[in-house]
Amino acid sequence: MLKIRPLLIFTVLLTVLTLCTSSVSEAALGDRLLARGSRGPEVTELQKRLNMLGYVVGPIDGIFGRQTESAVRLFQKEHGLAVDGIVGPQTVRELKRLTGQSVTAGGTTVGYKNSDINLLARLVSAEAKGEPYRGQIAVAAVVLNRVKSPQFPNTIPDVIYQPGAFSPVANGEIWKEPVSSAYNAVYEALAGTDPSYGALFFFNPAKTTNAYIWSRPQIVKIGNHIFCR
Amino acid sequence: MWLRVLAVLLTLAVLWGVSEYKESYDLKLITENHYRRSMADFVSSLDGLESNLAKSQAAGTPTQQVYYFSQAWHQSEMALKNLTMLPAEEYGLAYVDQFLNQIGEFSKILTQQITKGDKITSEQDQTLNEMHKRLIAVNRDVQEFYNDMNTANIAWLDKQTGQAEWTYRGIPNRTAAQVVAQGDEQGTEEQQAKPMSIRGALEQLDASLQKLPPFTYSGQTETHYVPEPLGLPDKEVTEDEAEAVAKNFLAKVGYADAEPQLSGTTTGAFGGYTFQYADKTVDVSKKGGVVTLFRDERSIGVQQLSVDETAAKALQTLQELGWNNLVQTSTEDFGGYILLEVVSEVDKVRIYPDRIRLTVARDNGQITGYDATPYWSFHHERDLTDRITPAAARQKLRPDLQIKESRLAVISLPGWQEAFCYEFRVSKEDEEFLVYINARNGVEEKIQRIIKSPRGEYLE
Repeated sequence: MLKIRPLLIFTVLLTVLTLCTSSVSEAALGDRLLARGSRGPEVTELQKRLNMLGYVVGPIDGIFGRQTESAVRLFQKEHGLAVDGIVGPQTVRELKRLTGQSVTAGGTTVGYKNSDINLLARLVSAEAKGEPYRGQIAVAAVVLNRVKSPQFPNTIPDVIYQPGAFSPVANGEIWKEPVSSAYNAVYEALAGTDPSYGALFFFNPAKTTNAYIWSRPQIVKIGNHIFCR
Repeated sequence: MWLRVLAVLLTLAVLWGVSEYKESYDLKLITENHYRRSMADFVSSLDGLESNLAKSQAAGTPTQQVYYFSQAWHQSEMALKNLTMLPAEEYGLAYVDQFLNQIGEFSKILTQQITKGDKITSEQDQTLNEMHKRLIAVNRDVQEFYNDMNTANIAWLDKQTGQAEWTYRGIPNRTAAQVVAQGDEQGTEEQQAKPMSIRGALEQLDASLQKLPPFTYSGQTETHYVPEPLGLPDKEVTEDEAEAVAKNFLAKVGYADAEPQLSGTTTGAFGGYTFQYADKTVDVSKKGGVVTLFRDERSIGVQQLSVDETAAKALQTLQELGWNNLVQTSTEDFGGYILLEVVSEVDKVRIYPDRIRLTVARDNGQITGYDATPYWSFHHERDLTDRITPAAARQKLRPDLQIKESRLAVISLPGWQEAFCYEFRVSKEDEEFLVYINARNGVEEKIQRIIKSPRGEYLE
């Protein structure tokens, strides 16, 4: 009983929302199989939820097109599901579970609890997509190390938005959709893993001539980035 | 005809230009207002901080002391936050940040100390006094260039980037360095160029603070890395020995024939060798020759195992790697893999600092991520004999809490400190918490809220 309540509330809320936003259909995600060519509010919900986890679907338009299909396939692959590009009960269950809200022990819904995670994932994605996974964790760890260091601001947003600190903030790259691996990297860094072993800076030696950054004591090189103290 | 077309085009171009100009002017104004607001907030919180630190030194009762120190703690955070919102060409005012962070941290330490019932020591009193003196100088300096900003309209940045067509009309003949030097009588007298902008003035202030030694006090934290790992075995290993360690590790996690190659070295407290085998990486420390980090970046196949089965397989692998006495404390389900934490347990006492974190694939139960740095950072012999009775500890809990579980545990506290505690899992209305009561003196050390995230139980 306790376990079902938040889900029930959520479903009811979603249904109400769907009713409010669309007079065409009352369907909710999971009512029917969705595949290439499907249209409707369930597809919109599918796209939103995929987006929340960093799977790029293109415009959220309620049309199950090529991009949505490849996002579904990638989601299935990365979550150990059969990769068929079709959204059936298993895929829906997994997607709903991972995009749900947190609850207290007794079942009161208390929100997503992920405000900083999204921002950090965007930064990691903009700075290090294409880098090895442990390099992505290391970039997230550098931000967290700065939060802990007395020489830097004390919150994740303050560190990320510090003027001049990260180029993706200055050039707007940070507002591109983050990739899914960036989210996973952020969760691991927040749990405490730090492949940079305490670094406060990182840079790409092929692209940086800044004397200050080269003068920092270097700790480790991961992929194209050198991490330093 | 031609003339008419040209005239129309010209009018359109002018209209377009005017609207663009108007729009960019509005945007500049919005940005400008944000900056000015942050500057105003920075100046007033710094001023409030100075005043509260002064009062805290006159307060005689714990009630008033706690009030002023917690105000100071809050205001230093506010000042720092607003400072980071001001425009900059390059980031970083590391020494101003450090100065404010130290005042904030010291105020926090004193707040907690007083609420525990302890008095401020004369040494702490002196540190406080020195901090306050330095702050008076910094505060005066900031107020002076804020005043200039309001009266002489000096620019934000030396290189003007868009906003403010203001011209610099002079700043009084006092520089940040001089003021701090006068206020503190420690710095060296040095003639510096007048700052041409707010940022320039802040950078001079930063440079002048760099010349002064940072404060030292007990309880201070610099917690982004462990300066000296407590748990690493003493012997140094050679590259060949480290390679054997990596090979053995890979064999135990499922790659019997792995031929790891050296791919790099690391420096620092955990300095050592990084070995690569296909898409797998193993870090082996030079001191002690232990695996600190392992990462397998293979792609993950279709789920075959439940979360519990996956965790069980990983625990078995850990035993094969030579880890005994480890108990599972949390799992998070990410779909294709789980995030699993295990800690050591000695005589039924959970040692939370001695922790290993794993990611385990749900296709075959193989460990894909292994992080033993916390264990090697903190593991040491601990004396866990002297303790109060469970009943005495229970007395310290609020009477309206329902106790669901209890055990003994060692927990980490800020600044690499540890406390030996009774851990109570309690419920109150529809919430559950972990409450930690110090097992030596009965002090309530820490409270954690238990949240069920979509991935599993999570402590907040």
